[in-house]
Amino acid sequence: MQPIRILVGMFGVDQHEVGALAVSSALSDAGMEVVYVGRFQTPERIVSTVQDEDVDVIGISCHSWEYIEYTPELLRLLAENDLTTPVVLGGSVITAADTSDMIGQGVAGVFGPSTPMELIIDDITALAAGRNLRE
Amino acid sequence: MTTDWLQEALFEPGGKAAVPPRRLWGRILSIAEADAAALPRLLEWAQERVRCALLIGVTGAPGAGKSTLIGKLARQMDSSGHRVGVLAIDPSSDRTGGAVLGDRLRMEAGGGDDIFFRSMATRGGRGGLARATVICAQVLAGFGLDRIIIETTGTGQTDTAIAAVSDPVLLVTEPGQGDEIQAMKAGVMERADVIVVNKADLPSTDHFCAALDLAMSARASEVPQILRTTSTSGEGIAELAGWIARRPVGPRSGFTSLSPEAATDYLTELFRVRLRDGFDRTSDDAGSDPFDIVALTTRIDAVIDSRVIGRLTDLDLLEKEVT
Ligand SMILES: Nc1nc2c(ncn2[C@@H]2O[C@H](COP(=O)(O)OP(=O)(O)OP(=O)(O)O)[C@@H](O)[C@H]2O)c(=O)[nH]1
Ligand SMILES: [Mg+2]
Repeated sequence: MQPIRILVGMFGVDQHEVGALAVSSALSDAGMEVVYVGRFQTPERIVSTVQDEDVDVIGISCHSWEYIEYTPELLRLLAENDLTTPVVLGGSVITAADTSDMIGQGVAGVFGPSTPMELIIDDITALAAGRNLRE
Repeated sequence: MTTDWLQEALFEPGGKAAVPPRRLWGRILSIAEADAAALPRLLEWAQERVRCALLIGVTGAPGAGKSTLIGKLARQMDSSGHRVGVLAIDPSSDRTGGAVLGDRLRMEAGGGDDIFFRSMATRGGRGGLARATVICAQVLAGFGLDRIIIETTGTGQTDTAIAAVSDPVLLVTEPGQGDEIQAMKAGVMERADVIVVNKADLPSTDHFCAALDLAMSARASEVPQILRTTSTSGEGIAELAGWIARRPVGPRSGFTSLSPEAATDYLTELFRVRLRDGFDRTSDDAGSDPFDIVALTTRIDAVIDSRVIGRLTDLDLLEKEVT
């Protein structure tokens, strides 16, 4: 079985890289290949990276409010490009109300700061397995 | 099914090999990387599609600036009309199989554009390359890319596989690595076609270059070109691209078909022979240089089943197609 590939990055001016780096190394320890793209991401850039890198899951670290605008745009662009790659969000700023809003819009998973790493790994593994065309 | 999908992506209904749309390239590389069952299809396609491409190897110690340099070099080549692809290799953990692939980070400043960029984990590959690097480069050449830049894992001395599959080989160094010049001499420095002194904005650059010149002057064999770059600002990149463009096409510059297995076998054999040669050379044998990869390649080609390896190079074709 080939390793799961996951993109990890942050939108726009979100400056908090520590969490994303910690999660990346935990995912790598769990046997995944993490395509770390870091800060300053836009939905357009993420979509083109998803295509080139053929990742199974998109993970966005959210520590500023920008994700509220960028995430729906990302979902729209993915659909427009016939991509079914699941999007998960993680971070400290996502409230319960926003979580259900994001899930309602098509985000596949939201992880708060207290979500245990094992659960994150399990969820990502399940999402990657559900992706079509990947045998 | 993957094979049906691949058939549809790579071949026209009539069976002619086609260039798939860009958005499918990433998936096709994943298949090349992992799916042995799909390989015959892929190789059949490649046989028809692959044109000669320059494979540019970029190696050097961690942090020397390989990715930053590649970002600038790729853009320079893109703007002069080339179609550029990058394969950036990082090590998979032996223990978990996982990897953090971070080279894209340095490439990104400046935006997406036409350059194809793929991060690869070694997945058991040795010598600084992934097992599937060669086949992936071949597939990119089949997509019509004519400049394919390969960034090795950056383990320095042991990144020797790159010299067997790419031409030219760029060794990226940075000032302050003075002590490492000695160590590098026996390693990949022997096979570098150009030594790039990157971070030439640092004050110790002149000092470093002097040490490098000294180390080079002691060498009997062909001395590589030394060029200075500041990859962060882009200074020196045009000169580097110019040097690559003017350089006569070497015997390692192109390839036809090489399956990942064949490539791995090929490299293993290459090193085995090289090692044996080193041991064998008890007397001063002027005719055989154990570090002469080109001569060895020719010999090994004759040894290994020519059906598997295919023609490694076709110089006439290269002269015509790589300009
Ligand atoms: N001052 C200066 N810094 C540079 C230059 N080129 C790269 N750097 C910096 O050097 C650091 C490492 O650059 P990378 O391009 O990631 O180096 P690399 O060789 O690809 O590193 P690995 O892939 O980890 O082996 C980054 O912080 C760059 O900004 C340069 O010309 N001058
Ligand atoms: Mg790098």
